Amino acid sequence: MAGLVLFIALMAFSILGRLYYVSIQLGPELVAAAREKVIQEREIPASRGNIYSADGQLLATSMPVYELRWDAAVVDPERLNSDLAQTAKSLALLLPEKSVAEWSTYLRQQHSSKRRYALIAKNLSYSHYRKVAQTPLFAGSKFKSGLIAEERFTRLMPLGDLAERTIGYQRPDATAGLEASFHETLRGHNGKRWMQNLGGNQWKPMESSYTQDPSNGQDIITTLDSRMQDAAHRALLHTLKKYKADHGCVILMEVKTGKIRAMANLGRTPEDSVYRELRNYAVWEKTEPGSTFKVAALLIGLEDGVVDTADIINTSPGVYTIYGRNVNDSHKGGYGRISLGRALELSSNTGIVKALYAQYAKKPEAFIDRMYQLGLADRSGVQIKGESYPHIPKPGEKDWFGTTLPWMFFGYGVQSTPLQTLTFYNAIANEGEMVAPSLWEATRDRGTIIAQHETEVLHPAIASKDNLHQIQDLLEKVVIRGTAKNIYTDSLSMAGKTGTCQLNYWDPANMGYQASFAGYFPADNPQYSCIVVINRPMRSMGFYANIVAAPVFRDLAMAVYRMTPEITSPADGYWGDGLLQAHSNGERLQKQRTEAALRALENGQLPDLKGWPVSEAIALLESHGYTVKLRGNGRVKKASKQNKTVELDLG
Amino acid sequence: MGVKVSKKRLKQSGNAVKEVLRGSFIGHPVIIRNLPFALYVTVLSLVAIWSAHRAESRVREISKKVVLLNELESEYLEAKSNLMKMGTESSVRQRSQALGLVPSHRAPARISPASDE
Repeated sequence: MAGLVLFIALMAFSILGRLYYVSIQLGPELVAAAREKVIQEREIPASRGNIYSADGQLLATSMPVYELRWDAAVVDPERLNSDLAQTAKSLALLLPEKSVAEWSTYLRQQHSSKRRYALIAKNLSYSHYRKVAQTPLFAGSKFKSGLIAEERFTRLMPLGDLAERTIGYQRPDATAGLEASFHETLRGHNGKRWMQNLGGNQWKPMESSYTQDPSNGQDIITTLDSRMQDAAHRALLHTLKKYKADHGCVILMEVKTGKIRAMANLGRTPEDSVYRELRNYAVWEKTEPGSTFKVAALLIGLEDGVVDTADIINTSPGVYTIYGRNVNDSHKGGYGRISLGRALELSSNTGIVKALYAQYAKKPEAFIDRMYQLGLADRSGVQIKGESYPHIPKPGEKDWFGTTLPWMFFGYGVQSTPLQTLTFYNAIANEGEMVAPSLWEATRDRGTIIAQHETEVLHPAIASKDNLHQIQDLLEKVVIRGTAKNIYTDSLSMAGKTGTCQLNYWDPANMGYQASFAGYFPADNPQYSCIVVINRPMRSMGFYANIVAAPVFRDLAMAVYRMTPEITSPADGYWGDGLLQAHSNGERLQKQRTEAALRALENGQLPDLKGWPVSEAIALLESHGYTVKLRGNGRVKKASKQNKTVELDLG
Repeated sequence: MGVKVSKKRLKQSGNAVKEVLRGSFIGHPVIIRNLPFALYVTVLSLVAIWSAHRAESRVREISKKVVLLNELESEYLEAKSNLMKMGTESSVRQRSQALGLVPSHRAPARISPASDE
């Protein structure tokens, strides 16, 4: 008895001792540790801003995607046996990376090895994930099916591959395009807040305020126009496929402001030879421009006053030899005696070289200096990382030979990107004012525009108006009766210059062509400038710029022309008055009808809604507290009322 | 002597235990006097407990709603993306080809009457 009492007493004392030790000795440490686990200052993630097109379409946004995992250990074998066959069949349809047999084996393997976190699929969209979650094995509560869905945010481009490369991406390992250039604006800043854990990754805010307020990213509105981008993409894709070309790009720019309305880049993927937005050729790819450069060369000659478009040159016999190398015309035998202007229209190499070489052979520096003055040595400064610098050879440097200068006149030896060439052509269209191309229209914060694009002038006047007008006239004639007369149409006036250029001419095994067309439209009042560059069309199918590149220009120009409504006023006189009369009669009737309907509703009656557009009828009825039920579609045919519910028969 | 004192103390503490067990201290005037305040404090603490629970259930509710929101948003974006793709001229053009329709070659004309207001 006494022993028992003693034992109980000892127990009690040891418990008390332990209690003392734990709460007083270890206490503060444990409390601190618990606090750290349960109470934390947590990051509140900021959401990334969206990218919009100038016409308000969503180009890039953040969207949740799902990664599916499977806790095979919770699934009982009976369920597995009964559902496996059907599930494997459905999965093979939904996730075709595994066949029916493979899915069946895979799931069984995971189950028998009791895997708790087996991968099913990654990066599924919500609807895709729901479909997987409805297969027999994965349906129902996750405690029985074992399906684990983990959510993550990714960037979605709702328009698919339209302008994909221009919009770009911002990933830890790689960045490109506007997403990268405007990362700081788009990303916003994470906030911080003290939060308490409720178990199961649920966190309760401890205070009503943040220790650091989160600020969401701002939206970027680009200058791209989704319809023009679509038209450019379509025209480019069509041509690349038709001529089995390697890659190509199209840029469409607004003449007055330099806003880029479309920028399409498509290249053939090596594996499956379909065309995708792989690289931003428009900004990055620097090549010899070929004949499109002749315009710059001629403009320099005109500015220096050393040549005149009316000068007569003998282009026969179509070959002109300098330092043992031949300048050839694409037309065998040349074009005979023609004016310098006509030589540009016909893109005669010998004509241009003969006229200019006679003037500049002794003073190449004068020509090069003018190139700098025309802004041909500068980058365009567009908001995309990785723009290449143009290359201009200099007399006295080691890549300067006797043939360098004459070959430059028709676009060899110099290098520029498509966007840089377009910037120059745009300046010609813009009466000599060179504006900076821009892809950025505005920045918007919670619906309010906080910064907006202003046209930046790179060069107020690249040449005199007189000389520009001569060049403009010649560019129009290129389309009317020159190398690009095949794209002439009387519904829209266009001006531009073709450029067929040999790539890697020093290496016969790797030789190819680049077809380009740079110009603007409408020729008499330029609104848009555009460049098309097609790289390595299949030679047997055609490689001349007028056949390969110019039609893309025309298709895009026509598409843009069709998008711009002509604004006309109604005819004067009787018919004009009649139209106005009908217009105001219609408006009056509409007003009377609405007033009558409102009066009826005030009196609790159902108004005569026959012939009303559904949306108006619904708005009217709902604003008076009715519930509306619809049957069929079209306009209102019959309306019936029961208490506060109105049924509308449509048809 | 010492034993005596301890006995006395024992008796006293025994009385105290008895008292507690009997619960007569509840009737102590100080307690009676402060009873409304004690009740008030009790109600307050009940409210505090209740609101803490409510806050927790709110947090759980919110996190469920956030999942739902993300799902709906994702569904909405998918639908919107499909619609946008279907709405591009390229795909309308492709689908209308079956109907024998081709895009017009002329720009549409917008007739704007001279405003009379």
